[in-house]
Amino acid sequence: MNYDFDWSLVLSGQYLHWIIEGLKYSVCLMVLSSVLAVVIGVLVTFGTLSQNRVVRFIFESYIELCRNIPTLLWLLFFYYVFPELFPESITRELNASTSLNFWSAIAGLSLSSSGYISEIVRGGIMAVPKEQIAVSYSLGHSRLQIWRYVIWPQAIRNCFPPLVSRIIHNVKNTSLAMALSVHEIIWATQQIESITFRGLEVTIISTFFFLFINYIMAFSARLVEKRLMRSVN
Amino acid sequence: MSDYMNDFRFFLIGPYPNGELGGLAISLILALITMVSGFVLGMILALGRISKKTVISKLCGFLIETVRALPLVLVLFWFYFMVPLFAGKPMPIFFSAYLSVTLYSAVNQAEIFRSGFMNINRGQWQVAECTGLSYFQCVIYIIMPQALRNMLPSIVGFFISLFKDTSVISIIGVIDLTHMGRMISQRDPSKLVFSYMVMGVLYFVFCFALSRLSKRIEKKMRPAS
Repeated sequence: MNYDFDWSLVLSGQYLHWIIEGLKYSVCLMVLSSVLAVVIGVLVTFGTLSQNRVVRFIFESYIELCRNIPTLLWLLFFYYVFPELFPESITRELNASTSLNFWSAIAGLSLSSSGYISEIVRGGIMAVPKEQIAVSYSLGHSRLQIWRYVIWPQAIRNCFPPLVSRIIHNVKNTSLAMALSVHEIIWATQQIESITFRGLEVTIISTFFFLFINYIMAFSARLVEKRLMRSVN
Repeated sequence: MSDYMNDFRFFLIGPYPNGELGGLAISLILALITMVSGFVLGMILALGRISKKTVISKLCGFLIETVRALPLVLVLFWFYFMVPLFAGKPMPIFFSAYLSVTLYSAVNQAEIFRSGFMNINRGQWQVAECTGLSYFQCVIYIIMPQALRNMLPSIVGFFISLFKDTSVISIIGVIDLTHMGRMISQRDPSKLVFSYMVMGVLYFVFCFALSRLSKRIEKKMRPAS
């Protein structure tokens, strides 16, 4: 194998600008989709805990639908099919919008992660012993108080590690947005590759970006986990 | 109607008799063969990681952690660029896809293996050594049968996620189910909703059936352990 690395071309002028733009979009995607996924996931969890069988069935099938269809397919669905489901005037409006790809990526990523997250959160809530809830009721606490002071703190502690690994998975999945030509880091670097043919350099750049993000997330998760566990003892 | 049936055949096997195999068949084949080769490679990596030799364990740990931090798309691009460089000539894309998904599946299965090995008492290793079994005999006859029992649900779970993740190979141009669906919907825009429905249903049916299977296995395993 003989390959001459040429960093000066890739890291200069317009290309450097593309890479920085790509980093910005990637971080935006990661933060927005993860936050949305957690919010939707928690809301769906409350739906699945409902006493009403119909409501429960609806939310449970939502989870199954999210979990059993690939994330890439959700992204493509929101980009190509979703606008077509509306009346024609809205379809034209949506397809004319330049940020449609970005928002479809956000929608697809958070939808597909929300299914997993709500399973995780439900597991955390279910792991809280039933006796504690019964005892709190008999001590005269209201439903809201029980959620706030009895179930929630324990549930968060129970589901924190799997939640973090799921969010990291979601962060890695943001790279799929390149299929919709969202200007995120991998799309940007591949775009540079297609002009300059410096494939290895640009791939190394995006690799280091993902290693960095992953390191930061693992590090901060460890800090938060230590805090969570400290409050127990 | 027969037009739709014809398209449906494309979804399942691609343009097979008149061209290369594609569609759902290629997704399934890729998931299966990378599962098997990833299983073997993952086992080796996991054994290396718990090895007593520091160099080997550090090296395997580094490889596992690094690749696990990368999205599959990036691993795909690595092989997409590296394979022709090493081979010195253009190679079929499917080969790059196979190698990269194998690596991805190996590092993830290595983590599953590690947690399987961790659950086995250290005494088992020591006793096996005392009875005069070699390292490989010990792994194959003593450790693996016990570890595999505990790992089975996670292995099936990983296979489901691997099958879904293979949809990513459509990005570098392998004609898998996702790519096939996109091609059909682009060729005839009136079939847009139809083709995405078919794709969704096919993925859903397979993954849902497998996840039910893994739940059943888990239930069966529980009273034993």
